Amino acid sequence: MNMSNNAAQPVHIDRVRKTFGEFVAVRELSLDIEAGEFVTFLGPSGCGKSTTLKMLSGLLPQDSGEIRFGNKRIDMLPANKRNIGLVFQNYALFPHMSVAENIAFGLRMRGWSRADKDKRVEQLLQLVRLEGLGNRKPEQLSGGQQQRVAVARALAFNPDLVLLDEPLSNLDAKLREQVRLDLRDIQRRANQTTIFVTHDQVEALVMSDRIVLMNKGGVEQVGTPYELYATPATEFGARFVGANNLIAGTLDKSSGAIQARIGPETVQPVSTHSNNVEKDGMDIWYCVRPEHVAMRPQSSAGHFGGRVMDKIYQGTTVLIDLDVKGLGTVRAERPALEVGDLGVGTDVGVHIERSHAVARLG
Amino acid sequence: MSAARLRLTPAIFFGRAALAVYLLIMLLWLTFPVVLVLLASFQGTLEVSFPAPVSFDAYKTIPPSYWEAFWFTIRAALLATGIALLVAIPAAWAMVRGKLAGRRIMSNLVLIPDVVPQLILGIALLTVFIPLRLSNSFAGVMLALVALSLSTGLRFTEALLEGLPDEYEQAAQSLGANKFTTFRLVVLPLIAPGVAIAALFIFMQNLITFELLFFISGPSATPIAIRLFSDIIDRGIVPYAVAMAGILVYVAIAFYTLVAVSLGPKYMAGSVMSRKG
Amino acid sequence: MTDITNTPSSGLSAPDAQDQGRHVSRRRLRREKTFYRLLTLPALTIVGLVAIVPLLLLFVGSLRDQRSGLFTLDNYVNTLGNGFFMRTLATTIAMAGGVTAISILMALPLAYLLARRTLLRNIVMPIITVPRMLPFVVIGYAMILLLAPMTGVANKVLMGLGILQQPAFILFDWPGQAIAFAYNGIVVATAVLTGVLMSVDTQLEDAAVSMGASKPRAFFAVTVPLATPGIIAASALIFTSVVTAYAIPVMLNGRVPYMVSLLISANLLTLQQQNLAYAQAIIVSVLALGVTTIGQVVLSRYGQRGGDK
Repeated sequence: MNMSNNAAQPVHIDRVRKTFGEFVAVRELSLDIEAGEFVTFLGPSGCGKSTTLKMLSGLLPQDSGEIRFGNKRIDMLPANKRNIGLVFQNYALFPHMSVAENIAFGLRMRGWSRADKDKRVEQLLQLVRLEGLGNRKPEQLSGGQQQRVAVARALAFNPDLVLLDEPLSNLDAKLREQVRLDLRDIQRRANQTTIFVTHDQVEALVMSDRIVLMNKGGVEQVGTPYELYATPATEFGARFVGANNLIAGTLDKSSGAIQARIGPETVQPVSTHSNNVEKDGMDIWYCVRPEHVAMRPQSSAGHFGGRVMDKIYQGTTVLIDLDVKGLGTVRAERPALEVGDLGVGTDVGVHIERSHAVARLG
Repeated sequence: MSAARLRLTPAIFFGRAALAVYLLIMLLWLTFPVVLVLLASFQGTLEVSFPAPVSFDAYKTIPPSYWEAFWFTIRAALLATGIALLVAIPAAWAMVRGKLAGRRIMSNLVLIPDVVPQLILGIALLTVFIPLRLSNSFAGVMLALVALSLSTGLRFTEALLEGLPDEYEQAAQSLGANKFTTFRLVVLPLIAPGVAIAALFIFMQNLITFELLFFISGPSATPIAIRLFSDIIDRGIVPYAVAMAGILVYVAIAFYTLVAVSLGPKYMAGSVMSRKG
Repeated sequence: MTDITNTPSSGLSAPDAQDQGRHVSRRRLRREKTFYRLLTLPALTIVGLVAIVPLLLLFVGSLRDQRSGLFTLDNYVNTLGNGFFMRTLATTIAMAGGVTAISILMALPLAYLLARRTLLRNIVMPIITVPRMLPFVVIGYAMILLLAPMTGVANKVLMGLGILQQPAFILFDWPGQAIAFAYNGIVVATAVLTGVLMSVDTQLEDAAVSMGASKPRAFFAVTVPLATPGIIAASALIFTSVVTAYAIPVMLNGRVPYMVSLLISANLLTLQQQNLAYAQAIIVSVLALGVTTIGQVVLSRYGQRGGDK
């Protein structure tokens, strides 16, 4: 059985823009997506990610810009002519139709023969592992199963692009983790170009080939999950993706290397992203991930002096709030085994394993 | 806690008694018309007494003109309900989903027949219908009912569509359905149960409409409510008229049963219909 | 991705293609709007022809002199200067106001019980729904069966019990009409208020009780204010239905309280003063619509202040 979408096409979004009155929902968004790629639009609510999705699907006309599949321009087509599969946040399964009828709806609109439809529906039920449930009504399925039906329905007619609008937000936490992997697996097997919209950074990091981080209608950063996590391009990115210690400082390029100066005496080497940080002496945030804050015996040399202020046990890891000389309050996250019975008030040596700088505005 | 509740102080006792008396009076008050009409209709006299022999004479002597009026009303009410819904459902869909400029104004315009007192609309229709030879005709009565039903129908279906998340329609479109197909395959089936209830309510409303039709009806187009009314003016109350009133009670009970079975009784309170007297 | 013929994928985009695309989608949107407009057309046409045009003609007629056909305000001036009409209007308003107040007061406790006691509600709902599905004429029949001086059940029972020495002649007098209107008013008020009170969260009252309010106090301090929009809506409904009622005033017509609807129909049908009747009809509609509108306005103000929903 060949599930892959042979006709997979690259998607080009070219300077697409949308305003509602004075409010700029999406400003000049451009993005090229490869065939079969899984791209996530990540951002807080109101950042323009859902508006972008609506414009791609044709449910909302854009003000300007172009959208193309390969070299076929589609932005002037109505939603029903775009050949885009859409998975809604609440799935929007037709309650008056069976699972099979739901999946076959797009095929029916395309005039498939009965036999072809039945065969395709079977294929999809297998793909989403719901064999034998074709005759059920959506209301008879669990949330996770409904979600898979919605995905099968969106994939059924070999769309050029599948759009997923926060499809995991209505599932409980445990199920969500499972469905994340399922969804990714289905997408890979179908080799389906996919855009996923979410406000959940963990979902974005786990599932995507690439992430488009959005804020206030604009793109903050485009990159692989690793790039977004390790080298945020902006202050927003540093705050939004993962927990970060942000310590105010200035950039110091006087020695040739790129360093962050915090307070009068502390100077630390930092990584930076592209053109975001360049000018010597400019204001920056010195960003340290909690897992990159290591603790050593206090006596050892070359470390900051610090004191344990608070300890939050989380099972596999422990969060430790440290008062670090020269840096201020820093949160560390260490494996529970490593931390042992380190008590509040203990003096420790603090070593920053990795750090990164982003421009500090205002 | 339970001991405190069981202790019956005089204040609580009189409070309870007063409440019981109030409830009893209200129940008697609310039931008396139906009870009296039914009792009188089975006694064949105008003087309800108890106990009394049961007689079906009143029902047997209902004159043909009454049955004519009854079926005339049913026909007009049915036809008006059908036409009104046929027109109101697409209009409501366009108003709710079409994002048309002036939508508020349009839907308020359609609500006019329901907002303007029926007596006044009836008089207005009379002045127009006489030159058009529509007064005292089936068509005239039917048209008046269509206007009224349209208002109720639009209000009902607008509420139904506003309660229907537009994702279903967006999903259908993204799957390749055009507007018309979306409406036929998705919207219509989803609102059908609500529309059926609406149809029942509108039909009943048409059946009992009086003030709107009083001026435009006449000897050759007499709704049953007006037949009952004019006879009491001409002849005073007569047993067979009471029997016909009894038949209308059965229709109302049948209607309630239908709606209650399909909705459950709790929906009868505060439904859209409650806004109408 | 290699063979791009239409437009470059990024950078220099041809402005012509942009414009053309925008043009195409704008035309599509326009077509969609036209489609929707067409769907509203039958409804608007019917209402226009069967309600709006006749009402406008009624209004125009009210501004014309019946003999000469000239435009004049005489019909209004004569009506408003006519003592009999104004007295009748005052009686009608008094009747409507009294019936409204009594209906709401009588219905409110019952509605509260129905809203809170599911079993009672299931029993009483058919009792208040069935009468609302009957022509008002049938209620009039019941009134006659109940209140007729010689044969009426009420008189017979009261005389049998020795409470009355002589039958009470209230049927074809204002009390008879008031009782008939109040019957309808109570039915309507119970139905509307039950629905409104059911939508008031019981937890609010419980919260008030937990903070030390007695049950009745909690009812008046919490539930009644939240139900006020419903009370206003029900009042407007009952008031206008009494002002414009026709069947009951004619059936239970007494000597003294002439209701304004009778006056209008007399002018229209027997006295052949159509244009005068039109003006009076307009005055009554303005009164009825005014009450409804005031109710709506108060309601929306209240809703804003209450801040719920």
